[in-house]
Amino acid sequence: MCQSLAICNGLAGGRRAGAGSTKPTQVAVWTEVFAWTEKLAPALHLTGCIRSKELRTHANHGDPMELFKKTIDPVTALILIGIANVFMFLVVGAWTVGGGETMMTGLMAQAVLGEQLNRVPFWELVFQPFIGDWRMYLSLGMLSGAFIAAVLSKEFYLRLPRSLSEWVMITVGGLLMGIGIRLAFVCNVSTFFGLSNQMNLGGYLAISGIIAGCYVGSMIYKRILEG
Amino acid sequence: MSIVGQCLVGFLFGAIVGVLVQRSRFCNVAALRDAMLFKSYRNTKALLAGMMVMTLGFTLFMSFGDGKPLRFDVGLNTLIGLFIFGVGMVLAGACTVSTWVKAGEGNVGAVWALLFTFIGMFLFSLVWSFTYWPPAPSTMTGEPNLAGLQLGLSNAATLQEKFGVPAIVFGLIQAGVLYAIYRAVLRKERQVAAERGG
Repeated sequence: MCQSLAICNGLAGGRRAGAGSTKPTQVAVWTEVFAWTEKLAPALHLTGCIRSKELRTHANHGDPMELFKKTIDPVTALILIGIANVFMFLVVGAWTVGGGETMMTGLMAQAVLGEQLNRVPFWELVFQPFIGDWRMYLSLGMLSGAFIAAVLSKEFYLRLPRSLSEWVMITVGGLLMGIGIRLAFVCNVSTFFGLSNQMNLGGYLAISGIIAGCYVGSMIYKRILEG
Repeated sequence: MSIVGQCLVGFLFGAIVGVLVQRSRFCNVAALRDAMLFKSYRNTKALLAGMMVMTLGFTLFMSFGDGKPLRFDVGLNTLIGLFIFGVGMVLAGACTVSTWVKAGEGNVGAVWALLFTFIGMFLFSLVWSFTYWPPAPSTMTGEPNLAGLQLGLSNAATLQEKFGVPAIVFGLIQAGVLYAIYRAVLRKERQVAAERGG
């Protein structure tokens, strides 16, 4: 929260120093809002994310690029994502990734197999490959958002898995993820940020499943790392 | 809303998520795995905070009959599928979100994981058939089918219809439970820090 507020504050500060197009009352409103959020923060136990000192330094700089110079607190990031997700839920639906990936799989399979794909009932009865599915563009948005953020913060560079065992683990892991998503009809995003928050019974089942799977996976991971 | 508009909304939301997740290095796998293996709760706290916000937001809008809740049947296939997914995501070291975000950062391993997720999906779709796969025929109808191990359809919107209580009530209860877990995690974190310090 601090980062975006800092930007707003910075802009407000910039305008205050500018040609005087902003009325003083507007600045007062902003100051009031910030004071209020600062009071609210400790109540929510999120003290790490709003610090008045930070806000003041940002107000002096007024540089939006500050966002890309340090790591955001994940709690802040997830709260912001949560708010954005609630509004997207009103318009199109809650955040999901697995559905978009399935659509992409379908489109890719269609490109390779053509008419032959109709022989697999899944692609006709449940998921008909359709280029206008918003969930696909959500995934592409995440890819480009991450790319832009990484480039701006100078964190973009090619990373390769170091060892053969890592390649094998990633391959097997990827396959299991794909199979799991299609078997369950949900991915981890719609479990944690969709189903369970809409009080769907499946959310609780899915969370218990993913925690059990994660535990077994962690044990395997530990054994491979140690062995 | 038009299809193009929907896609634009999806893309915009995705871009926001991409930037925030990249900058905060949040990862769903880390949220669960690090808590189990290394007793570090940085991501777990974020996961819980996000869930609290979304629970309150979703149920609030659902009480007014707004929003687009997911509607599909739940069965034991959800449990088994997510179990397989859980094992897979720890092995791959990335969940569905972080594969996209890490791919954007230039992580070749994440692109590889993504590719094999697609392959896994396609392979599983070959097994799936209208008559062969038990949960299939009923799963899209909204009718419970216990023979196919289906447990029926339920979310805050349907609970609201069934009990006549606004959805936000259920949301407040769930947010309360999540907050209790959040507090427990904070306490555990302090305990671990004290042990490591002393």
